[in-house]
Amino acid sequence: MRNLAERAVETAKVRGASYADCRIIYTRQQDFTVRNGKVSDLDQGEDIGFGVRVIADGAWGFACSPHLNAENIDKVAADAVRIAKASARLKNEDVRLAPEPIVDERWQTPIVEDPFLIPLEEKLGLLFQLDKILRKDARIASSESSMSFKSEHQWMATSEGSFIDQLLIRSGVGYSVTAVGNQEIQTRSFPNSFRGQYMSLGYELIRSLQLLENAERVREEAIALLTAPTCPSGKRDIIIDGTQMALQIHESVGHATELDRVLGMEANYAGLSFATTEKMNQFQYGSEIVNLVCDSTVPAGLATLGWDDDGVRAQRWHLVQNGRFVGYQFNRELAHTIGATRSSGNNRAMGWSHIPIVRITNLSLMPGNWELDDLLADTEGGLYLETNRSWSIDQWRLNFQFGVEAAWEIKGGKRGQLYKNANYQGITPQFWRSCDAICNEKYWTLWGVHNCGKGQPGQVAEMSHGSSPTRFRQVEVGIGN
Amino acid sequence: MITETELKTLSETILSKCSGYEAEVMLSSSQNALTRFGENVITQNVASESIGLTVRLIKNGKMGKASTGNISPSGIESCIQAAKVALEVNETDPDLLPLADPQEYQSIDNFVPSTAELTPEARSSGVEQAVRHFRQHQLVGAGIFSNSASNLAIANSKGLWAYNASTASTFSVSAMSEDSSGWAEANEKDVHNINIAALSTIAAKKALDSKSPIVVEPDAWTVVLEPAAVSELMTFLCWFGFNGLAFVENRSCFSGKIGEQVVGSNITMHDHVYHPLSGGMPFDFEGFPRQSVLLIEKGVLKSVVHDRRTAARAGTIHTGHAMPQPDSFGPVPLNLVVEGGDSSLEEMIRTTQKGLLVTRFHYVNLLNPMTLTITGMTRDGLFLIENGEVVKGVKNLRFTESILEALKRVAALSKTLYKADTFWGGGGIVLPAMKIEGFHFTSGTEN
Repeated sequence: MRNLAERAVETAKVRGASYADCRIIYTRQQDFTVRNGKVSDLDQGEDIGFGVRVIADGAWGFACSPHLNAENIDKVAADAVRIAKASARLKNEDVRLAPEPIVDERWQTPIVEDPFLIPLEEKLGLLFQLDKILRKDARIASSESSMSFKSEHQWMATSEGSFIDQLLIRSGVGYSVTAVGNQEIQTRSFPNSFRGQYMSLGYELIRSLQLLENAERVREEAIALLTAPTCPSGKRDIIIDGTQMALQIHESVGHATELDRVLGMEANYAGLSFATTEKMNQFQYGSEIVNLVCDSTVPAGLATLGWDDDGVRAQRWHLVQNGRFVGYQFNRELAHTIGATRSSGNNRAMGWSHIPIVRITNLSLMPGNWELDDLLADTEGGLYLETNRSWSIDQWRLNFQFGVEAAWEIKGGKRGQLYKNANYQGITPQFWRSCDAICNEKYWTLWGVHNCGKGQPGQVAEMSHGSSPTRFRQVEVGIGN
Repeated sequence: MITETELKTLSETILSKCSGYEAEVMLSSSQNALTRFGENVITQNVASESIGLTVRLIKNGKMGKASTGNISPSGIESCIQAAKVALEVNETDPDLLPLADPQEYQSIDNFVPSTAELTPEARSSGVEQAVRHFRQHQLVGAGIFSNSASNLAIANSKGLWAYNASTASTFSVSAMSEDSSGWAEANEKDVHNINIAALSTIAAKKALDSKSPIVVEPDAWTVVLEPAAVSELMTFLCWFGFNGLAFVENRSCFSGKIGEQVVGSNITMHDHVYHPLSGGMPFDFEGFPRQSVLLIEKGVLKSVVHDRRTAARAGTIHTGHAMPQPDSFGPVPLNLVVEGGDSSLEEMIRTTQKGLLVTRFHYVNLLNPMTLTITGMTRDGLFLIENGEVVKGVKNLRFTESILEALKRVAALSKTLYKADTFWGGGGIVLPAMKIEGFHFTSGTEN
C-alpha cells in the first residue's frame, strides 16, 4: 500500500503539483437490525479505494477511484492536477498550509474484543432477546434493535514525506420501541435515540451497556407516553440529560466553531456561524461555569485518532473557557486566517472518495460539581428532559429548537409527572449564559454522534460529546403545544 | 462508469457462482464531479467514481445479504461467501417472499451524455460567470456546480434484468451582502438547460432586495411559499405520511384514513415517476415496475405506496415502491407530483394584503408524526408583502406547523410546476408554489 500511495504522490508532483497526498482506505462493516421479531438488516460489507488531493497553481484538486492499480493511480493523480488547475482560475491567493512535522507512524484504536471475531449468532441472539422484551405488549407497533461495527484501515502518504498507517475501529448498539394508541405515536430509545450509543471500542461496548436490564423500562415509558399530558408551553428551568446535551453541544457549539463555515465556505449549504473571528477572546459564549473542550485524544471518542487527514497529530484544546469564546476547529489551510501557527487537527474525510474538510472532533462540556439528586431538589417546578427526538437550528447557529422523547416535571426533588411531545427553543449565547449547574464526573459520559452530515458532496463523520445533566434557567418549552 | 453490457456480463458471472440459491445481484456505478465556491473563489473541486455490488441469497426460507465496493474476482467471491454466512445464521422467515420474475418496464430517458462529459474547466467557467455578476453588485457568492452520471442494474436467478442510467447536474448559488442573502438553484438531467445567468440574477436580486431587514413578530402569517419551501413540507409528507410500512403499523397520520378528507379540496397529488419533469427509475429495488399512484385527490386520501409486504398486510396490490431489501424504513414515494392550480407566484403576491414571501427553509425536522408537525427556519430571502407588493426584507423566523393543517389552508397554487431536488435523491419531486393562510411562526432570530 505504501508503494502505491507514494506513487500517486510522485505522479502528482511530476504533473505539476506543489503538494500532494494520497489516502488508500480499506473498510469493513457489519450492520444488523432485528425489527418486530425478524432480521431486517444483516449486511456485511467491505470497500477499498484511494483518493489523491493536490495543490497545483495554488489551488485544490481531488480525484479518487476504487480501482487500485498502478496505471489507474497515475491517471487519477493526473486528473487531480488537472482539476486543481481549473480551480486556480478563480482564486484570491494561493492555498497556504500551516507547517507540520514529518512523521512515519502507525496508530490503532485500542480495543479489548475485536467485534468482527464475535460470532454472528451471538450478536443476533442478543438482538432477538431484546426484541422479545420490547414487543411484550399489544400497544407496541414496532421495535428495532441494531448493532454496527466498522473498521477503517488507512494508509496516507504526503509529498512532504509523511507516511501514516492508521486503523480505526468503531462499535454501536441500541434499540427503540414505538407505541401507538390514544391518537398518539410515541417512541423511547436506549441508550440513545437514532441507533443508540457508538464509541471507538470493540465488542466490550455492547457488554457494558446493560441493554437487557433497561428494555422493560424503556417499553413501559413508551406506553406511558401515550396517555401522558402534553408538555405545557411557557418558560421553565430545565435540566437536560447527557444524551440530549450531547446534541445541544454538537449543534450550538460544534458546528458554530468550525472555521470553514465561519469563513463562508459552507454558506450555500449548511450555512454560516455567528461566532465570527473578531469575537475570539472577546465574547461571552456561556456562563462562567461553561468549559467546552475539544479532544481527539480522549479514550473511546468516535473522533479519537492518531492523525487527521492533513497528517496533523491529535490534540486537546478549549473552545470556551470559563464561558469565554477562545478557540476554533480548523485545518492546515485555514490556520493562518486566525493567526494560528499550527492546525488544530480537524481535517477529516468520509472514506477514500471524499476530500477532507473541517469536522467537529470530540467536543465536551466539562463536568461541574453537582450530584443529580441535589440538582433535582434545587429545581422545583422545572422539567427534566431526556433523549433527543428532533433537532433544528438556523444557518447562523443561533435559533435552535430541540424535541425530546420524554420530559418529567420536577417535584419534591424527584421526577414526577411525565409529559409527551416536549421541546425547547433558545438563542445559542443567551441559552449557554443561562447555564448555572452541571453534574459532576460521576454522571459524565461520552455520547457518540455517528451521523453528522456536512459538505457538498455530502459527507458523514463521527464524533463524541461528553456531557452530564445540566441546568438552564427560564427556557422556552412546549413550543406549538 | 461501467457500461450496461459490462454490468450484464458481470451480473451473469456473479449469479453463476450462486448456484443452489435464489440469488439477486444489484450493481451500481457512478462518476460524480463537483466544483464548490465560497467568498467568490473556488474552494473545492472534486471528481469521484464508485462501484457497488450487493448480493442477496435465499434458501430454505432464509435470506442472507452482503455488499462490497471491490468487484475484483476475490472481492466478488468474498461478498458471496459473506452472504452465505449471513444466510446460515439468519432465522427462518415464513413471510420471506420469492424473488421477482422477469418484468417489462416503461422506457424513461434519463441519460444525457453531454452532462456526463462536463469538464472541470466548464464548471469553473460557470462559477466565474456567477461570481462576476456578484462582484458587480458588491455581493459575495457561494455555491456548487456539479454533474454526475450513474447507473443501477438488478439481475436475479429467475432471469430478471432491470437497468437504468441517469445523469444529473446542479447549479446552486447563494449571494450575500452584510445583512442579507438570496438563493437560487436548478437541477437538470441536461446540464445545458441550466441558465447560470438567470440563477445568479435571481440570487443577487433577493440579496439586494432584502438588505436592512426589519423584524416582524412571530405569529400566524399568510405565506407565499416558493417551490423550494413547498418541497420541504412535501418531503416529510412522503417519508412519514405515505410510507406503506408506517401505514400498516398504524404509525402514519394516514393509517385507517383511506377515503377520508385529510387536507383541503384543492390538493391533489400522485407519485408519478413518468412525469416529464421527474428523473426517477421505472422500477423499484426488487425489480418491479413503478406504478403511478394517486395519493390524494381533491383532499381525499386515496392510497399510500406499497411494496409486496406492506401491500399484503394492507390487503391491497403493491405499487412497485420497494426499497433495497430487507428494509426497515418502508416504501415511500420518491417522485411526488403535486398538481398545480390556476395562479402564479406573481398573482399570489398581488392578492396578499399582508404576508410573507418565503424563498426556502433550513434544517427542517419532524416534531410530531401523528400531526406531521415540523419545525424549521426561513433562509436566504424572507420578504414582507403589503398591499400586493414585496416591500422589505425580514429577519428570519422559525416556523412550527402541522403539514396537514397547513394543507387545509392553501389559498392558491401556481399553474406552473417546478422540479425540486430532494435530500434522498431518486430523481426529484414536482410541485407548484403555494399561498397558505395562517402559517405558524413561533420565534425569531438575530439575522
